[in-house]
Amino acid sequence: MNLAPAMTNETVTPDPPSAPAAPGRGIEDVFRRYAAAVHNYLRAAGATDSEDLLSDVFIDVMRGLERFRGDEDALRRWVFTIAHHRLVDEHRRRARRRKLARAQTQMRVVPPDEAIDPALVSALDALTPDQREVVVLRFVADLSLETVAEMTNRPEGAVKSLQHRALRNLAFNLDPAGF
Amino acid sequence: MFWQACTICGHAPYPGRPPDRLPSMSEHDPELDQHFPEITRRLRAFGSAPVASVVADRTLARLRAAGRPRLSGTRLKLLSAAAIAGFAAGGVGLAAADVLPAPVQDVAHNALDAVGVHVPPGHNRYNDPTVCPGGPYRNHGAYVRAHPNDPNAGASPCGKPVQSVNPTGKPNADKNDPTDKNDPADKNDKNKAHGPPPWAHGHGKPDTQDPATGPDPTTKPAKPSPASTAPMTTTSRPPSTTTSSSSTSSTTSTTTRP
Repeated sequence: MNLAPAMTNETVTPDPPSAPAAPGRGIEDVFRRYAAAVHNYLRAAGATDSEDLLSDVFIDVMRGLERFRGDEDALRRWVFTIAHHRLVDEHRRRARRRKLARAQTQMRVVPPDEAIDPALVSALDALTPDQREVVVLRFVADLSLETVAEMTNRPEGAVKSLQHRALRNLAFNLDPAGF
Repeated sequence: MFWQACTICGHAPYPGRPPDRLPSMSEHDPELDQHFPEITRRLRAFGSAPVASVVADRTLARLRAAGRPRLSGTRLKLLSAAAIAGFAAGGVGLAAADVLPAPVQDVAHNALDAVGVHVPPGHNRYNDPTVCPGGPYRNHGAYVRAHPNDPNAGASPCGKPVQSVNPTGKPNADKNDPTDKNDPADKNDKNKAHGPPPWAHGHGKPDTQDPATGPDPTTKPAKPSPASTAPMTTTSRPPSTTTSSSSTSSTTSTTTRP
């Protein structure tokens, strides 16, 4: 069994309430560690303007960083929770705008000039929103099953089911002949 | 006990032991995901791709701009209090210097008078001691209240602003006085000087001629005759019929005739 470390490490210990933040943890340090992962997560999850959203996420992180208490895993969970909330806000805002304008514009996931694995992006587009949310949080953001269940307000079993169906659909969309 | 026998006949509702819990659809072996190693590898590769340096630099610049120290709550309150105090002091100073507009000065006079600060009123009140005994009065209402048994107190100019009282002591009484600014006849003269608006071109209201000067020979007759006004409306119609166009041309020549 050759699973990635994040998949084997499924247990998330609750943050000790009085644990201080790691010394020397500034916003630029946090940004350098998580900017790429958050940016890729936002792009894979279908953000229209991922760069703008990335700024919003880290501005929120900066405002709350002084009050944050927890270890490195907790920091990662916290940053991606902020990113997830921002993404949900953006989806709602976009849905409202689309409703008002009644313009059915195709969701643009990744700018064409920055395409990373365009076949995978197309296959992600073909998933249902729930499947996409789970699979992106689980593998692109590399979060544990429990964290994804907590972030999406779903039971772990539902997350597992969505994840399995998403992977199966992705495999089918990427290679229909070999499935 | 979840499985109970029937209370009437004593039989169990289902024969034998209850079946094991059925596996739900949400349950599956997580290791099934290893059947898609290529998919998970590509997804993780997507997530670990480095962010473009341009994007990182721009975002960091925004972060630095947003991270500038902001005013704390205490400082904000202090600044707000200082601003309010400054406005209040400035307002009192301007009121004391009597440089505010008259209505504002009146309001400041009344408001500050209530707290014991005396600033000049906005209007000089008419308080001639020969006409208004027992004065000076703060306003006309004060005079009327001070003379409850005087039926003519309301008509008295006492306490009214001097701008509304002419030198004879009667407000707006002498309409024939040429020096009176409030004479409505003056207003009519001013209105007469304006004339119709420039875009009216004779279609506006008829110009009333001054009987003293007589008709102005340079001006056109302002009020067109009914015969000329009716076809003028037909000229705006599209020339659909021959009859209407011919009548239009004939009547138009009539109107331009001096």
